[in-house]
Amino acid sequence: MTTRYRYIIAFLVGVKVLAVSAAEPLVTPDPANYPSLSTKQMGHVRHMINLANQLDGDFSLMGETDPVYYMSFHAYQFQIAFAQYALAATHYHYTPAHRDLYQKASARLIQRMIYKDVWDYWAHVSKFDLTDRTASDAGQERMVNYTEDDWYGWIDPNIKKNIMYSGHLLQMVGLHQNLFDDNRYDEPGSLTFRYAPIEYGQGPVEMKYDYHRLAKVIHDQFVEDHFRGIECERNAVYAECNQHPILGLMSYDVANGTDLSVEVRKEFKKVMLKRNYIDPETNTTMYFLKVKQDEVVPATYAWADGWNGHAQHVWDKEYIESIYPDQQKRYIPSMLRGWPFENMGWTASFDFGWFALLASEVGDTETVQTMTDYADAHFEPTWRDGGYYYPSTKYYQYNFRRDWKGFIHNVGPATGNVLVGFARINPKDGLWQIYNRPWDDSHYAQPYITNVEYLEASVTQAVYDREEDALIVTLVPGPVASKSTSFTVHQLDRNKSYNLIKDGQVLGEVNAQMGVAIPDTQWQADGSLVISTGLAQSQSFVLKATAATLAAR
Amino acid sequence: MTVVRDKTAGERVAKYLRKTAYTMFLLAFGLAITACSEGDRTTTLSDGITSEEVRQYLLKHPELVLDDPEIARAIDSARSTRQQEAGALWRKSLLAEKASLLNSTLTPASGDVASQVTLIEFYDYQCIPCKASYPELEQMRETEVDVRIIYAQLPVFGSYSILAARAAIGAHRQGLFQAYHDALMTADIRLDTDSIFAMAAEIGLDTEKLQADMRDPQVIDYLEQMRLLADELDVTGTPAFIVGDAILRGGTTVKELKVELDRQRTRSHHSSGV
Repeated sequence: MTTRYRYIIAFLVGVKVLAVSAAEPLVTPDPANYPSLSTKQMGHVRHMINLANQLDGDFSLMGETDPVYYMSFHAYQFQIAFAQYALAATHYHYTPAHRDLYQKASARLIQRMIYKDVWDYWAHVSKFDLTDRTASDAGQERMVNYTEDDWYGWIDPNIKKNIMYSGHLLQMVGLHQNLFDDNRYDEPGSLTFRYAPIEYGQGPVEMKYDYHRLAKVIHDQFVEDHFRGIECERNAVYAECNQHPILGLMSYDVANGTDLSVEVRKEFKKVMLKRNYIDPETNTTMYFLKVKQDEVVPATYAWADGWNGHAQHVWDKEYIESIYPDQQKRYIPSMLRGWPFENMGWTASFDFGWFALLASEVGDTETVQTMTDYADAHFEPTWRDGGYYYPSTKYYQYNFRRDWKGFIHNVGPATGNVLVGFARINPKDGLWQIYNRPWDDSHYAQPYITNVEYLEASVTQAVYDREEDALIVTLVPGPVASKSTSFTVHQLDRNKSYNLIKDGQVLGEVNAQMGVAIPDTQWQADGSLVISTGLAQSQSFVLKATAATLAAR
Repeated sequence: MTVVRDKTAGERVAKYLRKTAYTMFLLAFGLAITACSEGDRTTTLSDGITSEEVRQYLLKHPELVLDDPEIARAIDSARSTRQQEAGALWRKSLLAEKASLLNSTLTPASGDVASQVTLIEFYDYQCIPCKASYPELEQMRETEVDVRIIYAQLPVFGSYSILAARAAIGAHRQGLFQAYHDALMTADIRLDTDSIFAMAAEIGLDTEKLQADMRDPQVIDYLEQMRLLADELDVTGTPAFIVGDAILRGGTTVKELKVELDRQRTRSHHSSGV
């Protein structure tokens, strides 16, 4: 068809559009009816992406020294893993039609996770049974008098125990695979751990893993350990640490058509109930199980209830929601305000974050609001290169005291960098939905956007509504001021025309097959559509398929 | 358990070892590691003592290694040297693989491609140590001969660093990289969109073309490739220098750079038989 005839048809279509528009009001989806990230939520997202984009060996935002050496829950692996879960929740619930930013960030976080500084503590920690380390003089003496066999550890962070690391890695890889339809980690060696030991001029030791090997190694351990849970450090089984590999196996089952997680969940729950991993009297989660002594160490920690609960909720929703009210009453509001200069204890800097996350997952929006407002008031919220977070307080590892008014100010990197933001972002049943309503192949065939200039613009919502046959996208200005920006829409149906509506105003109709475009839009050779826009303030776009195809017209 | 030493032979060997501890233990460990290799591994050293005797003695009296701090230091040194050599070999191979990136038309550089030594600086325009060492580095660029310097953009300090890196590549496309690089490195104002473009206009860059180049997917992808190279080289901060096949990380002085340049030149002479 010659260009002249195309212009004629385009003109006629345009005339018809105007006629139709005048005759029938255009009903379009209202962006306000779809989940959208608030300014602060977007800020938390940007901060976590900033963490992902740091150089592998740069932990400057994540604590001055690796907190795992203090046996703290602010360890790099927890910050990295929970950041990935938070970004996964963001993508699933707010921007399912904008995936390249989140896919890259997810891959970066997995890359950071396998960087040696994050896991090489294990070569050291694997040597010890730390459960008796300070319990008694006898414990101290045992540490000194250990034989060579007792002191022997191992380097591989995944092969045995250390589920406090490997379980998270499995969950991260599973989320990446299922959210982005990206099976790069199926490749043998795609998760290669390099350890350069200080001995006799040897080269680095490489331990090669991939998604399948990691899942098998972990599943096998669940079976060998009779489903009582895999140890973190020697002799210590933590309930919450075993939740992550369970979620990882659930993702694995979806991707590979297996049922590894089914038996694990069922049997692990049996052990949990039999051994009172969650005390039936108090509804609080144990500290840990001492394996050799077969002894459950009970506890009352907000972090333990929050950490275990938010994840167990994914596969045991009714039970967690049944015990949550008791937990909520126990910690809120007593955690938030107490006596002046009261020593809250070593858990002060992370009790808050994990419990807020649980509150979000079970849908206790009032508690989430209370806690995030509290963080904004007392945790010195900071904007940094478009990211919003709560910097760690000085001496968070040692100073557990409230201030003179009784408020908490002690913030560690896990709470400040990730957990409060995650709680703010995560909707009711946020993680439950990701694992129980996974996307199918049709999701990846739907329209989506790419090429958003990250420096200039943030995407606060991007969703394709199948029923409406409409793509809804909202951009807000990013950290770098720009007069204009653009984004690209892919996988629009070539046989359809779409009305482009910007901030409620119909700009016109576009169609790929006929090459019909309107000002500030341009069709590419691959059938994608570039849309340009000013960006002085928030801009919402709706691309809605018209009622009839061009053929019908 | 009490160890009885053969005083006569042992004294001679121990005395010899203390005199030439470093050389002996390199040999000893070399023998231990190549234990499976065939052929005559016995070397006659001075004083009529063979390397095999040394080895056998060490196998019988390993406490000599534990008890002697000088020997322990020699072992550390040997180990460190071996690790450095392995690292250098690997870096050389990686840089050869990435030659097309390093010699890309988007890569600002000075000096001849065929220079004896290549120095790659990974830096960020908001990196304080990078800016602090800039005047001396520029002086080195002018005075050192037969050195190719590659300016590797590695924006790590946020959005405006990324913007400045893209602008620098855009300036390179307009043939004004050195002037713009100088302006950015010596600027004592905060970098933002206004200052980045103001500096560009001051040195005569076409700012409209600059803006277009800053949005060019080729430029964005190029910076991503540079970032991946930095990751592979285990660059953990800026500035970081790759001098030949050696890596020098932050806190490196220009004097140390010159020492490494000379060392690389010497190695290059030896390997070419000059």
